[in-house]
Amino acid sequence: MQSLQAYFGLDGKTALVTGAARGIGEAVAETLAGCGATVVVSDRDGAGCQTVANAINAGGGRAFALELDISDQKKIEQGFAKAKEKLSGRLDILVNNAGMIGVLPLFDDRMEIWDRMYAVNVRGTFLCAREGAAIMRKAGKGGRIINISSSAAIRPVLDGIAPYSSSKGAINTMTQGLAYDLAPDNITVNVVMPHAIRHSTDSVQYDENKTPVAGGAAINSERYRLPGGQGGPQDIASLVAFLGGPGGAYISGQQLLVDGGYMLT
Amino acid sequence: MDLGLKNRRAFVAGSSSGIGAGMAVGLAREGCEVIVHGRKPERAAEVVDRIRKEGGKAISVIGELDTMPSVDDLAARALQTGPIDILINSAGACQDARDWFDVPMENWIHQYQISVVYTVQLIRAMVPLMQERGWGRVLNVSSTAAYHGMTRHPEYSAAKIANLSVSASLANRLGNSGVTANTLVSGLVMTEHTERAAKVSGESIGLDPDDPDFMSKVLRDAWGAHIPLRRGATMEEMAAAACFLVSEPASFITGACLRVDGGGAGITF
Repeated sequence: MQSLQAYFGLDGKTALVTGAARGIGEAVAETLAGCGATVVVSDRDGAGCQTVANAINAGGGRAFALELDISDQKKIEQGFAKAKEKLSGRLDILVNNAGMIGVLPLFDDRMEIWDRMYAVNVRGTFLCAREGAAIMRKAGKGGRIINISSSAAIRPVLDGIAPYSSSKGAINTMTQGLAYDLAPDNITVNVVMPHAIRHSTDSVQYDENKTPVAGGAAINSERYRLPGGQGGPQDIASLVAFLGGPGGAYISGQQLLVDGGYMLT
Repeated sequence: MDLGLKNRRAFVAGSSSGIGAGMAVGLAREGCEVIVHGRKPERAAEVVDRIRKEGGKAISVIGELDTMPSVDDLAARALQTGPIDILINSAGACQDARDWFDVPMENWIHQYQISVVYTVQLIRAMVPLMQERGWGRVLNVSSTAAYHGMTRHPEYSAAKIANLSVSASLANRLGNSGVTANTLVSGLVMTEHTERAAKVSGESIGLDPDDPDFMSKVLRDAWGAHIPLRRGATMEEMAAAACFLVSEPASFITGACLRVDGGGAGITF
């Protein structure tokens, strides 16, 4: 019996996932590989993405690690050139998951946090999309770009969340513009908005400059009644895998919530 | 990706033709037993035969959706066949086009019955049983007409946006019961009906049906449709989206709306 499974499989496809050393990105990379794709696992944490790539390869999948800091345009260009080489010139799926999470109280003067948030979440996502789209366009086989933003983009309800939520809102709007730009090349662009997803790190982490760099505590799900309970990284990965496969070919420019119904409350 | 749909029983309202039939076939291919519903026994039988020939499981239940008693009767007969895990409300045709002010009030009421009220009736009959078993899926099928104020089908536009609201309030009510409720929004789908209409429209403005770009030219020049991907959806793409939304991996998606419209509703100018 012929199955629709062909619409959910990624055999022979290639993918690049940013921010894939942990959390949602890690689950996305593992799921895409599990569906048959060859995956470039990228993260600014080089050792972390190597660990994820090793685990995928040990499990019978195909993955390469790529250290990549998406706050730096040069590094993005060099990183995508390396990825292109590893994937023999073909990139079918790009998942822009890397991002910086954190809060900046309104009257806190550390504007460098705002700048870094925008450099990573907005400029970095845009530049990765552009580099990825260039590879897809050259190969002439269409493609899928899936951006990850946040439910905070449309419901910013936490003290000091404005820099983060507005940067995620920019990703949503950018997604629609890119979907329009790239439709003639048969490249779809969508954005997935997670909410209350358990991360491997439970608290916001800070770098040496006291800039928050990672963590999932910014959204305290206990404060909200979630119809669907709390989700896990796999819940996001499932939708990304669907959008990345043949079944997602006619879906473009969409902003999709995976929030257990949070937005209904 | 394993969708975890094996041996689930799915009732698809309006599955004897068009998108609903495509979804019924898709669900059967994923291992569901499908209850095909339509008004005409012979049309429903064709879909059942097609599924069985592929080795899938299907039965049909026939019934009208245009009165409340007929829907209650349909729901009872569907449930007599066994437990229903998945309810897809795909029925709901558009009526004849008329100017906004000329649509008879009976047409408004009829449109609501065949697009919205029947879905609520089926949900009320089937979903409490899903809650008792701790697993279930409701998928209401809407249309991009929900987002476009259609001047010649105002009752249809209004009914299709109501589908989204029904899914949202239901999802909120269902909470973490294991039953999710979502909406799938279809745009232009290449059904047989669409193919025929495209041929007529294209030829009427002198397009060559053998031109590989025939469909994109019909969309642009005859229908004035703004679809960034420049084509209609395939039946398989609609079925794949439906199968995903009712699947096990989509268990954290509830109250959501997925537009499968080639970017047409996301970007409207």
